[in-house]
This record gives sequence, C-alpha cells and structure tokens, in this order.
Amino acid sequence: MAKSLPKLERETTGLKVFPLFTILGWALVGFSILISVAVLSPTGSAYFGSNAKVVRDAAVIGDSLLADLTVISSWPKVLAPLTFLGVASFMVGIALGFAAIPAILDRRIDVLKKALPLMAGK
Amino acid sequence: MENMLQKMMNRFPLFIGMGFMIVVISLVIGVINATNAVDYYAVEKVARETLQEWANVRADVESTSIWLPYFKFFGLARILAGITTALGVIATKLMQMGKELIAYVPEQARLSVPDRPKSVMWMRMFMMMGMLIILAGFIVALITAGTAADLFSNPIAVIDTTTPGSELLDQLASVHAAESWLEAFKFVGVAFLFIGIVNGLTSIIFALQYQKKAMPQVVGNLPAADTSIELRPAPAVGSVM
Repeated sequence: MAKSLPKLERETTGLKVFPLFTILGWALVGFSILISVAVLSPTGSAYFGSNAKVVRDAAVIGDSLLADLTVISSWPKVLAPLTFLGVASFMVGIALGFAAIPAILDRRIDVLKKALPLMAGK
Repeated sequence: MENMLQKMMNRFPLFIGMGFMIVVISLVIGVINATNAVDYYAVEKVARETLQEWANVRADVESTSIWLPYFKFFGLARILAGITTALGVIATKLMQMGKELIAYVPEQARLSVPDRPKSVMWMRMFMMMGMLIILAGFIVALITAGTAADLFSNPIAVIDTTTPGSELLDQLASVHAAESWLEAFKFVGVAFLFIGIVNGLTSIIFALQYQKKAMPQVVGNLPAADTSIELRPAPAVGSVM
C-alpha cells in the first residue's frame, strides 16, 4: 500500500521534479547544436561550396548531392521545434519551482502566528 | 471580477501543461514536415519544379513552415503566461499573509496595510496583451499559410514565368510581405509577456519589502511574550521559512 505524503511534501514535489526538466532542456538544446555544428554546417558547406549551381541543379536520383540537399532541407525543420521544446522544458522547470512557493507560504503563516507572541518584548 | 481572476490564476499549472503539450505537438508536426521535405528534395530539380504531384508536396511544406513557428510560440506564450500567473499567485499570497497576520495581532500592534500595488494590474495587462499579440499573429500566419498553399500548389516553372498583374504574383507578394513582419511580431508578444513577468516579480518585492519593514514594528508593539503558547514541532520534511 502506497505511503501517503504529508500535504506539504505532496505540494512541493515540483521542487524534486524540476531538475529533470532542466536536464531535458539541456539535452534537447545540446542535441540541436551538436547536429547543427557536426552535420548541417559541413554538409551545407560542401553542397554549396564544392558544386556550381549548374551541377547542383542537374543532380539525379541516387546522386550524393541530392542526399546532401535532403539533409540541409529537412534537419532544420526538426531542429527548430526540438530546440523550442528544450526552451519550453527549461520554462516548465522554472514554473515548477515557482509552483512550490504558495504551499510553503501557507505553512509559513501558521508558524508565524504562533511565533509572533513569543517574539514580543525581545 | 477579482474572484474570477483569482480562480483563473490558481489554474496556472493547466496553462503550463497545455503550453508544453502544444510545443510537443509542434515537434511531431515538424518531424512530419521534415519527412515531406526529404521526399520533395530527393527528386531531381527538373521533376520537382515541373510536376504537379511535387508541387502539392511543396505546398504542404511551405505552408506548414509559415504557421508552425507561430503555433510553437503560442505554446511558449502559454507557458510564460503560466509563469506570470504563478508569480501573481505568490504575490497575492504574500499580501494576504500580511493582512492575516496584521488582523491576528492585538490592536495596539497593528499597522495599516498598503493598497495592492499597480504592478499587479500591469502584470495582468501585459500578460493578456502578449497572449493576444501572439494569437493575432497566429491567425494571420494561418491565413498566409493558406495563401502559400494555393501559390505553391502550382509548379515552380509556372510561378517563375508568371507576369505582373496575375493572381500568382499577387499571392507571392502577399506571402513574402506577411512573412517579413510576422517573424518579428511574435517576439513583440514574447516581450510583453516578459514585462508581465517583471511586474509580477515587482509585486513580490513590494510585499516582501513591506513585511521586512513592518515585522520589527509589529513585534516591538506586541504586549509581553505569552510563554503559555506551545509551538508545534517543525515538520520533518523540508524547510518552511
């Protein structure tokens, strides 16, 4: 039988979960930059820099030039939303951190009400 | 009105969850669009620029590339709106906490509680403005995507040989013109949302600064300590202060 958590810990679970979203964000953004630097950049450089337009336009099916063109054209369409998902993961992590604060403030007011009379006259 | 706004603000996890789902859906659509692009660019240039079947594929790719970024930003805007409302909830709780404590202490120790700062109103306004800007941009992007789909469903060879005054050139002009300002417009919406976040943080700082000044005065005016009150033991999990 699952142990039930006290109310406070259940509402601050967000504080334990937000590092996962931060790591996910870094992983997605890191993957995007890695693919951009290691795959897209050299492919684009080779495709446009090593072949005249006439040669590029005359490429036929099976030619490595067309394969390079598909890489240059398709990967950015995946990497853009992937990078966004990484940024969104960071923001969800921030939001989870903020979401834990109201529950902590609720508990704080109960404790302050009891502590105030004891502080008087000091 | 205020109660309705408070209830809406307490639902901020829903905004954040929905925003994240929208960004995930954008990724799935982006992958599908990428596979269409692979199909299109894997064919010889002559074939893809003259054949109708490849023109239809290009129409899908181009139109998706116009509306998808705004859809992603719509998701991001919802997450930012969720963060702004979370800050609003924190600021409201801090102010409420101050009022409850002031009402709890004896009359002689009470201080006047300041009115809610204007930054709370600005926070809500900027958040709504940001969301509206991105929503308006998304609607324009959808319309432009429709125009692009009509335009690029014609083979490139036909588009390239069209003459001034023709419908195709008008469509080409409107797509390029809309794309030029749509790109920056979504960042205007994001900028408004960030200003909303700044105002939320300002509200929190206002409440904390007031409490920092008020607490020593309240404690100093309290009657002599009542040692008959027992504090409950602090909870074992986490810190509460």
